[in-house]
Amino acid sequence: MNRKNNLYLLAAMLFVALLAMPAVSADSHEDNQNTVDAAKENAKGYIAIGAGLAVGLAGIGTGLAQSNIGSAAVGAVAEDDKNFTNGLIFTAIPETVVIFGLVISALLIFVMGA
Amino acid sequence: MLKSEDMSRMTISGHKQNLSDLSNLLDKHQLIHLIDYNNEDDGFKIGSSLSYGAQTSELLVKIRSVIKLLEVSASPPTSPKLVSDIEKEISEIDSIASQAHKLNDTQRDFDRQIEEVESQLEQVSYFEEIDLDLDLLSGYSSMQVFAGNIPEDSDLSLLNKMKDVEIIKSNDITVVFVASTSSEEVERVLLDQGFRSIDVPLVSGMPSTVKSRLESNLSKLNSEKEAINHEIQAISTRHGDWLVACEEHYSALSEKSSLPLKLATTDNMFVLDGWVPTNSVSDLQQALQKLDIYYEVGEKSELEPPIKLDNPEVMKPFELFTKLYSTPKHWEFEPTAIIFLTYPLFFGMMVGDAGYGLAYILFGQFIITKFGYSNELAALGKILRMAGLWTLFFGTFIFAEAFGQTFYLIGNDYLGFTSFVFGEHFGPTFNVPLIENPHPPWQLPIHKFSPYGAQLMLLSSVIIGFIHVSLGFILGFINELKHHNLKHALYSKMSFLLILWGGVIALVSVVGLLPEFAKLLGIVVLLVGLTLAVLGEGIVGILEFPTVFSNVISYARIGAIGLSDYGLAFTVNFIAFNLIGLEGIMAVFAILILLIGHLTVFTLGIIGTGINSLRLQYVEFFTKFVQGGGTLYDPFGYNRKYTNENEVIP
Repeated sequence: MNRKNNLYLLAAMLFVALLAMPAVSADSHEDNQNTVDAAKENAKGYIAIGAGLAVGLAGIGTGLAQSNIGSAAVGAVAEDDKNFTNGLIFTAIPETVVIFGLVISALLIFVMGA
Repeated sequence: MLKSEDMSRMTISGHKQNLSDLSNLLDKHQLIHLIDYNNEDDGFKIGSSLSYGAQTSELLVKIRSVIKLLEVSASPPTSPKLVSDIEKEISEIDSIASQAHKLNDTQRDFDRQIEEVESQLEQVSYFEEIDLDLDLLSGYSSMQVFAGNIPEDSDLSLLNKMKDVEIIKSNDITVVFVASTSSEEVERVLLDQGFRSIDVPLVSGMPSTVKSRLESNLSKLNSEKEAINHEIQAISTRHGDWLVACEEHYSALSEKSSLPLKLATTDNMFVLDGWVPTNSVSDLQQALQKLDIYYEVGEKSELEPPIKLDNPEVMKPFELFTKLYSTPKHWEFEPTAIIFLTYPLFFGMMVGDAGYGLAYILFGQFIITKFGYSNELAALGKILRMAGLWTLFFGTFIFAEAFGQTFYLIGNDYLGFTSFVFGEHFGPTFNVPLIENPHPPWQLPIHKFSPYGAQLMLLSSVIIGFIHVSLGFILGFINELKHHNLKHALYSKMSFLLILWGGVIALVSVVGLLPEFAKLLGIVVLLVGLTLAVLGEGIVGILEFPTVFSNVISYARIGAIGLSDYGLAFTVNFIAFNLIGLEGIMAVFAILILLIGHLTVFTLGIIGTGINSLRLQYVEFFTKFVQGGGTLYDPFGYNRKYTNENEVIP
């Protein structure tokens, strides 16, 4: 997939995320308890979507970075076994990104969603 | 443990005629790590091989070429062969070598012939559909024949209109006969239509007859080649073990004969320089007394000694990971003992399943018994076994589950007892700060898929990360203190340790577990650390300081992988038991899904979890204190596996 396609994919994801924005605010309907409850339930769904996006998008980022580093590392190891450790370390560097995504999603679910 | 073994410098000198005896003795004891002599300026020369060196190398080349020709693969050593026997029998190598070369030549000959027949066969098969003697397709003087493929949608009407042109067409091939006078024109039309020419086989007879003749020829050649292969295999099995033993013996001899190449020599004398583990110096001294040579032992030396890792037997396999990273320097902490604890701990926490734990133990044991003759594979097997042990521990006493199924469910539904780890809850109740109290209160086991369990796993992995990274900085601080000075240690290690601790104190105070003033204290500690870092490393210190926290957060993967491994196993069970079910014929599919699914999780455990646990050691931990770049202790001598120098008395 070329870079343009990646951008399209990203734009499509953002669009879907926009669609998922809450249409009503829970606070403005205090007179109607049912509506408020429904909106709160709704909000939980949005939090779940957000948490999923946080891990998913971060995972894509890590994957893109790791694919290049990984292929270079495999090449280096094929040339000389001694490169294994360095290859492993370099390949592991972008993993931090997806861990950040994971932490954000955990915060979303456990702190916001609680 | 935690430190490499002490080394003493040893110098041996004497008359050159003693070199052969000395080489035998050093090979036998395998204690001295030689320092290669490479400075020819000061009046010494590098020595030349011992007298038997040339002959040994010649034999070795011959043995290795036969091993390669016969494709002998070394089998695990069973009973070592006696060196005296090998030396008696070695003359046979010539006859085996000539036999191997002859067979190899014949084999290559057959390969060439088979290739030839196969290409002929391919040509002929194109012409099979046109029922025409192949003789008729070539050898004309006034006529030209074009044979080849032409695309199906091509238009040959132009050729049909021409006179003196005859076209025979089948699915595979088109043959065009044309008088020599108009051949150029026809060729042009054909090429325009995308014609690709095929060589006409130079044989006579109808294509089908020729084809069957070639086919029988081919099968004959193949069976003859097969026979040769069998013969090669037979020789390989008959002499394989012997050849491997010979190769080992002469490699060992070759190494022994090359001793003078590492020494400083004059016309009559030699000087040998090397390192001996301090504990073994007296052993070597005692042995050397039998020879008429002079030796000297010095305790201290300016030079860096080679590194001999020194760990108890149970930790030895984990030296593999240390060596894989880099051999530590002699003044550095040797991290094997710490990996011995933390690697299987992380692994066990990540998988945390009694069923898989047991499977890893068995698989590790399998590797050890099956491939024990290879040191590295045996080490990997032992590491896996240890990792499995911890996985079993966590799976039984903390998470109480096997293959993604809780013990409680197994006990309640199938076994009919629900006490201790099979109970719904066991052990004392406890409190976990930061995570709101569940109902009923906290008690073992930890359910991975409950929100409380997931939070606890993430929280505890980050806390473990904080301890692990701090330990790394503390060890780094001590390393720097020993090797450089206090200032250096403060700037490069204590700075980041303070940043980490300050940040964490402030954070813990923010969430309300420490009194309000601790927030200020934390920020002050962090700023002191940052100042030290900037003093030591300049602007880079500021850029680097967030990595300390990202390193700690990185340990969240322990909890995350634990959850995902459980999720996978749970899903496999759900598909097999709930979606497919165990009734009637569907049970077969369910069992198939269970087998494939759990095998996948098992393999992912080794690849994913194993690598991630190692990565935490290398990236987050080692970078704080291991510099590496030392030389591994590699004593002179050859480790024999297939041969034995002395008669073994049973």
